[in-house]
Amino acid sequence: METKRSSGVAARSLAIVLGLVAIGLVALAVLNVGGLRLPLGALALVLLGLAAVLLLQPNLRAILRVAGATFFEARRRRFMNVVLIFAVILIGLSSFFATLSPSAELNMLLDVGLGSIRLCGMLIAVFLGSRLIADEVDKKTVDVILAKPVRRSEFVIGKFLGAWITVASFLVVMGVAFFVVFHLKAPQLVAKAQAVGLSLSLQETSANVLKATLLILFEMMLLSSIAITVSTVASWIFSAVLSLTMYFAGQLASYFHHMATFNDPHVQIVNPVLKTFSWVMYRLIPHFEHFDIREKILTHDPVYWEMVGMTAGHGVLYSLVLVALACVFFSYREF
Amino acid sequence: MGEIGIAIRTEGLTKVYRIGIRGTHKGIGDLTMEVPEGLIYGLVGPNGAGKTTTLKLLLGLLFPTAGTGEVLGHPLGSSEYKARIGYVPDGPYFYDHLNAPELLRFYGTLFGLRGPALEQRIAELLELVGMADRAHFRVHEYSKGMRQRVAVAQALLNDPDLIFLDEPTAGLDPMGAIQMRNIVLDLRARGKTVFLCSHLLKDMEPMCDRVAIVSRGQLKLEGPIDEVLQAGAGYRVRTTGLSAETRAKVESAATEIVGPDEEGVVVVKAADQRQALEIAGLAAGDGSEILEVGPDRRTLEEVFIDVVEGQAGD
Repeated sequence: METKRSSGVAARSLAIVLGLVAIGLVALAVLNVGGLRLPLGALALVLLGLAAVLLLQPNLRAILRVAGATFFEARRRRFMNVVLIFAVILIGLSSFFATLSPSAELNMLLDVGLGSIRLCGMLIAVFLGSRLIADEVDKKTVDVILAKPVRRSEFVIGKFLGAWITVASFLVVMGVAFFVVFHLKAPQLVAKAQAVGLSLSLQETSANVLKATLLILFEMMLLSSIAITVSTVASWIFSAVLSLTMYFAGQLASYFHHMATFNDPHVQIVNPVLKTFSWVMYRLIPHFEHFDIREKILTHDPVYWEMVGMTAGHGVLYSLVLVALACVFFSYREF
Repeated sequence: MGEIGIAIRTEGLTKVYRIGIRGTHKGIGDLTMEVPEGLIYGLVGPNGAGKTTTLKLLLGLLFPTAGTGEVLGHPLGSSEYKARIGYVPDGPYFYDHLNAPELLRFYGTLFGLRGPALEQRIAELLELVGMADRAHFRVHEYSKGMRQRVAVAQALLNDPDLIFLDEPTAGLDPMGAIQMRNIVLDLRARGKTVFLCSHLLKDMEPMCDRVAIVSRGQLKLEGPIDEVLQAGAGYRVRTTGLSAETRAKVESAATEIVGPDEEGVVVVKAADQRQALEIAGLAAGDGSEILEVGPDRRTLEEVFIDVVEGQAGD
């Protein structure tokens, strides 16, 4: 008993130290010391996460069981399977879009294939995320779980994990289907393009497809996180609508940035309300447009792994903040 | 002899729901009660009386607007006591795609159970609730009664010290209801505390050691079942061979005369012990046989109706 108490005190002390270090790192990130805003922020978040784990000592087994149940339950939803089948058919059909030139045909294959994954991934992420917790509350299955030694935060984290695993598994299926179609069709399209003097590399295009698919995965993880977080305080319909609104607003991140920082003395001054609104939107809404690299691929712009990593990191950090928010919201929810 | 512990204690527990922007509705108000360990405690009341609200407050699913409470020595909502309780909800819902063993395995792991010990416990419980031969059915194929049985099984997985049952016999066939009663009585025999919520008074009366009657969010009456059923009931004299002449004599002292039944037994009810003894004296003097003189005992249903209609307990 004494040992347990002393180890508890040690864990709390370590958590406080980690928390203080994290606060220091946040301050350095805000000041953008050495231009390392993102790595410092990421490190601060990791340390805060560790401190939270040490303080709360979550029941990992319970979290994993809730995540597992969520995954197996979600996998059986008819809507999800219909979307998946639709996506696979669409990806399959992408190889039949005949166009005038071999280069355009390859672009069409990439555009339709990746676009299908993105569109269907978006539908799955929004509707799964919105309904996961809402359905548990509506069907009262949550009552039985929360009457057991499972904390509300553990339940929420389990739901997030389950949703991410489900979204990832569906995207893997779609991604594999696209890779199969791509590798069946792309070599001959690249060869045709090279024959007419276009400099296209199959290896580079394949790597870009992988990067694009990975970014869609992180994008959908983030989108499902938004949907789950909103559904902890609102109905699933509101959650779905708000998530979709945020998703489409996130495609306009650079537009909001442009409006917020517009400062040309030769042009009429932009309405300050619109400017403030744009600034708030730019700061608040995740920049979903950065996850879509189709245009870069189609215009043969280089897609660096560093950029992929930064964008994915942005998605992960945003998602973790949403998990924390969802835990707080859910702790006040009554059933 | 050790002191009897208190499984549940509440002090002025109140829950007020918000309806719209300005409206409020009192789910339960100023509830102060103590549930001793090792008893079957019944919380009865009409629909909307505040039974489920009370239960959900005790389980930490709702937060009190005012007042405090403890379950097994821990404050309401804390996860410490949840490892030692079981809960059977009213109209239970579970994950539809699972069968009974899968469902119990899921809930069992939430208690930290696993391996052969969990599998053995699942088999025992399915046998206990009469679901062993239908274990392979998926939840969406279950009848209401089958869901109720599985709900009981999941509530007993951790061998709880305190079990909460919300309308436990609702939806069960007569055999199922008897089985449920036996399970509850067996839990008490093993020293467990059972907290029952129901409006099925005929099921509650033979099981409960203590009852509390709630109506419109207020605790109206609480106490040991015998005291509750005798409260305000007066006394009665059971006699046979009561002549018409003597019957006329005792009528002035009696509050009610019932019978004779097919065995010739007449029950004469009196307001108090003195009048009951006076009636017994008159009947005995007239040559009638006195079978019993003692406190009258009403049914829980009669007490409940009086309380709900505001004739007692206020």
